[in-house]
Amino acid sequence: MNTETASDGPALAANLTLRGSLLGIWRKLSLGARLSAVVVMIYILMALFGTAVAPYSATNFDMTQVLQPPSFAHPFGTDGFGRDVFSRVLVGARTILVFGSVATLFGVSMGCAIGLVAGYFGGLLDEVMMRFVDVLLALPGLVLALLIMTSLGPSDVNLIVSIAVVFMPKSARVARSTVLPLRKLGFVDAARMRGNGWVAIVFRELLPNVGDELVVEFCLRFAYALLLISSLGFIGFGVQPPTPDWGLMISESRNVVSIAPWIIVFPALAIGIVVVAVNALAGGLMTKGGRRTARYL
Amino acid sequence: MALLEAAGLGVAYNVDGGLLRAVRNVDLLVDRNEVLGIVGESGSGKSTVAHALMGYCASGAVITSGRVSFDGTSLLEQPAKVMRELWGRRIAMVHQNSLATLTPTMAVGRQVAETVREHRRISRTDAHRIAADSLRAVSIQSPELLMQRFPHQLSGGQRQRVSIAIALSLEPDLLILDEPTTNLDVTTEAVILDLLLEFQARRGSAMVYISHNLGVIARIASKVAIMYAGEIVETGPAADILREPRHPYTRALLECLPRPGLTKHVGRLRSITGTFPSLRNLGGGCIFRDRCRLRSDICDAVPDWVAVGKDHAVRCWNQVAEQSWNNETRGPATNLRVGDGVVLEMANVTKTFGNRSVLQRGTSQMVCAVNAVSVRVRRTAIVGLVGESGSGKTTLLRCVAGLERSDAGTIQAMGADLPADLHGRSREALQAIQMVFQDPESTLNPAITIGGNLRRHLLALRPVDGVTATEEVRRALTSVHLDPAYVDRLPAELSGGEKQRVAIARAFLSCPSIVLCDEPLSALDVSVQAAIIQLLLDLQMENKASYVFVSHDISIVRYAADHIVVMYLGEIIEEGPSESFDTRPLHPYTEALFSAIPTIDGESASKRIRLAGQISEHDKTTLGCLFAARCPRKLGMRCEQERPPWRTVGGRRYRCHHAPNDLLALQEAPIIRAAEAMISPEWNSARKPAHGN
Repeated sequence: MNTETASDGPALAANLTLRGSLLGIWRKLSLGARLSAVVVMIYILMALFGTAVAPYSATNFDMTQVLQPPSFAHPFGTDGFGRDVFSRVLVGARTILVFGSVATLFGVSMGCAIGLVAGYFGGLLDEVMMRFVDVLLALPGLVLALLIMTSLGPSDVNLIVSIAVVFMPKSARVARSTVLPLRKLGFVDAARMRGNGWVAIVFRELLPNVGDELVVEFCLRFAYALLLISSLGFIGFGVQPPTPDWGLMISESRNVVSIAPWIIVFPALAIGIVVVAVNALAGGLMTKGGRRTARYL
Repeated sequence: MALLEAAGLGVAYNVDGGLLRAVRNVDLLVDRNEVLGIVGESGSGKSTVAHALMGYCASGAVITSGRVSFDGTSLLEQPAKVMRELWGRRIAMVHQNSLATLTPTMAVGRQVAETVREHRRISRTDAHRIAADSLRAVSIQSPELLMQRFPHQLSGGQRQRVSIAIALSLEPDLLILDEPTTNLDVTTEAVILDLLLEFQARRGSAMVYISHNLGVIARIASKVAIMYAGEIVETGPAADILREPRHPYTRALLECLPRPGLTKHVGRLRSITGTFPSLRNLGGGCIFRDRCRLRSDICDAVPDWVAVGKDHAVRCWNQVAEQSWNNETRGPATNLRVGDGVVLEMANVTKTFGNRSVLQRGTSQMVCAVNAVSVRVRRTAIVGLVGESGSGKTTLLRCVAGLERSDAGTIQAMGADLPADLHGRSREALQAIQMVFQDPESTLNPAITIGGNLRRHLLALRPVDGVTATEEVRRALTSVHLDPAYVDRLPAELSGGEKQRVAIARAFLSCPSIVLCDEPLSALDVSVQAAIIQLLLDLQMENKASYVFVSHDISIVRYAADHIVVMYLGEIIEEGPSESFDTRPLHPYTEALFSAIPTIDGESASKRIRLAGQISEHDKTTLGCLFAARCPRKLGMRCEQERPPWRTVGGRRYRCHHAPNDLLALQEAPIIRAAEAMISPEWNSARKPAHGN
C-alpha cells in the first residue's frame, strides 16, 4: 500500500493559467532574467542582420587604416590588417551563434536519447552506456574537443562534431536522472498495456516529461559552447579564417595588446556578455519557467 | 485547566497570488487522559492544525490569529530555546510517512537514543538501554538486532513503531499523531492502536489523533472534532457523534462507509456531491453550504455554535434531525448478476523474484511472490483479491495484465491462452484486458493534456480516424461524469478523484471485458470512494465487464465483490462467494483480518484477535501451513509439519487442519487477545534464518 495523503482535495488551478504562451513565461521571469532575455535577443538580431548592417567589410584588408584607435569612423577601431573591429564583431556574432546552437543541439539531442534509453531499460544496458558516457565525462571539455579536432583535422563540421561530443555526456546524465523516477509510474504501465513498445514509451511518454530540464540544459550548454568555440579559436583550432571568430580575433592580436587594446577588449566583451546573459536566462527559466507548452497529441 | 487549549486559531499559507487560509477559527481542548480525534479529509487543514498545536510553523505558514496554550503557557510566541525544551520531552509528534520522517542515513537505534540524549544528560550506554526498552514497549521483539538497521530496511509497520517509540521514549504529556496508521496493514494498525491505548492508560497523557478513518477514530478517541475545509464543524464525545451526528457533513460522511450487511445488491453508498471550496476566495456563509443536503437561505450567514447535547456542539443552522434528513433507502447499486461462463482463468500461476545479491555470495534470495495460484473469474463478476502486503495479490494482478511475466502456470482469457509477455498479445487481447492503477497522481502522463492522454490510448487500441477519436474522448469524459472541457486541462489541474475518473475512462476506451483494478480507492478520500465505486458499478453494467479488484480494504470488497479470494504469502488460503463471508469467516487468518477492521458500530473489543509477529518471508516452509507461525488457533506439531488440506463448505473452500465445525466452535469461545503462537524449537531452527523481528 503506497497511499500518500488521501487525495481529492482542492486542485491547484492557480499557476497554470499562463502556460503555453511566451508572454506567460515573460511574466514569470525576474528582472535579471528579463534583462538577459533582451540581451540575447539583441545578439540574435546581430546574428541575423549583422552582415547587412556592418559599415565595412569584415574580411577585406585595408592597410591604410592599420591599428586605428576607436573613432567616429571606426567605433571599435581597426586591427592589424586594417579591418574594422566593429564589423568583425557584428559578423562574428552569426558565426558563433550558429555554430554554438547547432553544436549544442546535436550534443543535447544525442545525450538525451542515450540517457532516456539507458534510464528506461536499466540493467546491463544502462550500466554499459553510462560507463561509456563516464569515459567521455572524465576528460575536460576543452581537452576532449581538442583531441577530436586534432584527430579529425580542423574544419567547421569537425568543430561542431567535437563540441557535440563534449556535451553529450552531461545531457545524458540529466536525461537519465529525470527518467529514473518516472519509469515505474502508472502511466508508463498504461502505455505498455496498450501495446506501446519501448520506442513509443521513451519518446512519446517520457520525453515530454524531461523537456523542461532539457531546455534549461540547452541554455547552459549553449553558453559553454560559445566559450568553447572562442577558446578553440584562440588556440587556432576553431572556426577557420577568414570567417571572423571572436576567439581568433583575440588570439591574433596578442602581440599588439599593449598598443591596441581595443582589438581584444571588444571581442572579449562580446563573448563575456552573451555567455553571462545566456546563463542568467537559463537560471531564470529554471526557477520560474513552469510548464511551457501543453501537448494535445 | 485543560492541558492543551487552542482558541480562535487561524493559520494561513503564503502562496503565489495571495493568502491561503488553511485553518480558520479553531477552538480545541484536550485534557489529560483524553484522546481527541480530529477527523478530516484532504484539504481540511488537519495536518496544519497538528503542527500549530505544537507551536510549530511549517515553512510558508503564518499564524493569523488565536492562541495555543500548553499547561498554562502560551506556545505561539516562545523563543526557540523554550520550544526545544518542550518538543520531545513534553509534547511529541508522530507523522504519517515514516520513511520521510526518519533520517535515512542513521541507524534506527541511534535515532531513538538521540531524542533521549537531547533532553536528558545521560551516557550513551544508558540512552541505548532506554532506546531498547522503548522499542520493546512498542512490541518489537529483539530490539537489539533491529536497532542496527536503517529505516529503509524495515517494513512500514516497523518504521511506524520506531517513530512511536521515539515519541514515547520520554513519556510526553501530550502526544500528537497525524495519520500514523494510514499506510499500514489492518492487522498492524490494530496492534499499534492497542499499544497507543495502553500507553495512554498507563501514563495518563493527552493524545490528539488525526485521521480520515472514522473506524479508527471510533476505536481510539474519547472526543471528536470534525474538520471541513479548515473549520471545525462539530465536536463532542466520540460515541455521541458517531451514533447521532448532527452536522450534515458528519452525517454524509458516515453514510459513505460500507456497513456490514450492505452489499451492492441491497443499496447504494451515498457520496457527497459538489467540490471542495477554494480556500483563496472564501465567500461568506457556511463553509459547507455548497454541498449540503440541508441547505437553506439562512446558510448564507456564518453559523454559530449550537449545543445539541452534553459537550456536543455543532456549527450549523439546520442540524440533522431524523425528519429533515432524507433517509430513504436508495435502490440497489447494481442489478448485474454473475453470468455464465468463465472469462478469465488463472491456473497455477507462479512468480518468483530473484535477488541474487553480489555481496552475499551463493545465497540467492529468491522471493516467491505468487505460488501456484488458481482463480476463476466468471462473466460480469467482480472478484475481490484481499490480502495484506506481501500476500502477492498485486503481483498476481500484474501477471494477468502482462506487466510481470509469470514463471509458471497459464492464464486464459475468453477461452484463449494469454501470452505472459505483453509483446506477444494480440490487439484483441490488449483491448480486452485493461487496468486501473492505484495512485491517481501518477496514473496520467503529467506533461500531456487529459485529452491527449485519452486520445493516444484510444488510437493505440482502436485505430479510428481523428474525428471519431475526438468524439470518443468526449464521450469517455461524460461517461465518468466529467465536463468534456477537461480535454484541454493538464492532470495537475485536476483533483485526485477526478484523475482517477479519467483513469477509469481510459480503461474503458477499448470496451474491455476484463478490467483489473489495483487498489483504485486507497488513495482517495472516503467521500470520493463511494462515488467512484458507484461509477465502477455503473460502467460495469454498461459494458458487461468483469472486474478483478485488489484491495486491502475488506469492507469495500465485501460491499462490491461477488467472489472473495483471500491470499497470504503468495497462496490462496480461503475463497468463496462474498455473501458467505458475511456470516462467518473460516480460516483463522481471515478471521483475524476481519476482526482487525476498525468499525464505527462499537463492536466490543473482546472480539478482536491480535496476531503476534508480522507477515514475513521467513514463515514460508515447504512443510507446514504458511500461517503456522502466527496462527492463534494452531493445533500443534501438525500445523508445522503437514500441509493443510483444502476443505469445502458450501461454495467456500479454505486450507486448514481444523474442520469447519471446529472453527465455528472456536470462534464462539471467548477470546484471544494477544495471540501467542506456539513454536516448537525444532521447527524454529528448520525455518529460514530470521533477521530479527
